[in-house]
Amino acid sequence: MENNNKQILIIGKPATSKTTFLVQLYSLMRSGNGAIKLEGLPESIKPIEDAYKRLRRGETTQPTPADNNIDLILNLLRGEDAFTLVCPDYGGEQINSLISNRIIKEQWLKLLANSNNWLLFLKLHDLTAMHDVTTKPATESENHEENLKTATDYELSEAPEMVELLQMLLFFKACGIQNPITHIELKVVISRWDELNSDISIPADLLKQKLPLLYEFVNSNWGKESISVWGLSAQGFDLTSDENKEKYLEEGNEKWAFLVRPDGEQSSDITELLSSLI
Amino acid sequence: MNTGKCDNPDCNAAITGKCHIGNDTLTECDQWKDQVKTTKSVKKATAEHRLHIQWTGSDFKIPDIERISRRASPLILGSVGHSDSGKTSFLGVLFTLLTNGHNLSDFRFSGSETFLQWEFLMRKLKFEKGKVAFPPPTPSGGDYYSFLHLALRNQKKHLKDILFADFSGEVFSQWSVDKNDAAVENVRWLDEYADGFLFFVNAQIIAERRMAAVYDILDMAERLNESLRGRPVIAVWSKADHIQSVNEAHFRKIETEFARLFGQDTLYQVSNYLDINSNPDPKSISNLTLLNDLLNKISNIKMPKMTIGISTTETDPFLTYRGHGK
Repeated sequence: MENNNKQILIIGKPATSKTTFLVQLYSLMRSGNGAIKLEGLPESIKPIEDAYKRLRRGETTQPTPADNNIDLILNLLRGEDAFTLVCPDYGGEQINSLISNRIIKEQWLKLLANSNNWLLFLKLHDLTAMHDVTTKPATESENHEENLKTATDYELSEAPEMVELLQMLLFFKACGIQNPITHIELKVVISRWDELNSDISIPADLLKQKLPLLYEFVNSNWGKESISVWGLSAQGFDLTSDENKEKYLEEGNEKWAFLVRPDGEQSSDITELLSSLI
Repeated sequence: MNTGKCDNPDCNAAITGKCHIGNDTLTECDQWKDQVKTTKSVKKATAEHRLHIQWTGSDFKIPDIERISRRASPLILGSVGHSDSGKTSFLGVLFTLLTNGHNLSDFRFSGSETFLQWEFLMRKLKFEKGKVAFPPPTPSGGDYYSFLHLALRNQKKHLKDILFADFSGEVFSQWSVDKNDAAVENVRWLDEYADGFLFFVNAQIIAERRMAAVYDILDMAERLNESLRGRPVIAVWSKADHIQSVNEAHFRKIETEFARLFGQDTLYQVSNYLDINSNPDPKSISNLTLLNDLLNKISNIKMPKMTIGISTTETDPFLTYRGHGK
């Protein structure tokens, strides 16, 4: 058996289910029901301790503190292949800070250098689209004067912001885009899938509809084999009702998470998101 | 090695070691500033530098162009037209369309380093409290210039950096009257270095000021044509929701003259006001069509082959390099 260190980098703003995913991933692997299994207990599950306890009680996880930067290290087995997975857990506010301050933390440089497997977590369920002159007729009377504001008075909208984030990460990894990228495997993960209320079943189609600029960016700059779009519901459903809490308490937390594969098929084995590591 | 620099921008002492006013040593010169950074502080500055993104997200200035040129020569597109002819709105609508999922036919969006400025323009075209603000006029004056950046990938998967020059319309009017005017240095730069041009004809102004406006437009078009050197121009009726008010003879005069000058049979039409009876309104997506057209025309220009007139017997690998494989 060969043992390899594999590092996966989960990239996502606050409330995109990064920590919930890690807890459910760990729980599923611990139960032995996923294609990838734990090889012994990890030395520590400190990075996900609080979230792990909460989900087992049927409670939603709390936002990870902004300054948190702890690696969850798991020894894993898939068939005969053994590998060590290093998953950093961090406060999603660090992503917001990177985008707005345009400065990266030293430890992020190391994370980027060590990982060629990126999971970009997005939430699309609460996006609101404003009308503009290309979607709704304006009339002369609607033209009004405004003070001259500088460009920096504005924050970026969702799609340009995500593109800017990826551009920044590629820059710090010293990865150019002259040729489509093949050495970094990017999985775009649309999280909180259960909250979407959409008829679209193919995750890439949903990304194209909701954030077309990001869709174009990743498909233009990544090689076909290195980019895929997935859906994920780490909780399965919301945990505000007593009835749903009961499901967690009765049957365990790991049972309810599900993935939507790139072809639209659902799977309860969320370890599939790690398949490219092997 | 001289670790310092002279305050006089024309002095090359940092490179040559010789003072421009003849002092025997550089330290005797009042304008010479020794660089007193220790190795430790240099290391610290380098470490901090590598944690910073190299672009600001705001519009590009000349040093940004130099930086992005390191990966490949960018294509510079000049927007030519009078004040209030819709040059800046055109850019705002262009980015809005890309963000809304409309694409160029032959080029794929691959990034931008000026997102904050694009966002600024895009926000001005959104309905807020039922109203649209529209982008403010580009600041007047010869000193102002701005470039917006898009990275696009063509069908052969080649990446191209596109820079849209956004200058004040006033300077184009001055340039049209006197191309050597001291205040139009930026337009002269654009005239020299742009790879292609978008020419904006304001339909509303032609409708209101009739032949007086037609003459102004044709003067500017002639000026552009004078130094074109085969570079493509795409002309467009902006504020085309007013096109029905343009006198038929004036319309034909402009179309005919632009066909003669730039070889474009029919001008494109763009407008910020959708025609609700036409769904979809072609004017709402022609921003993308005409840009696609301009980029294809630029791509189709055959560049003359360059030959390097240095003997290949030189042993210096730099001098003997011939761009292998490219």
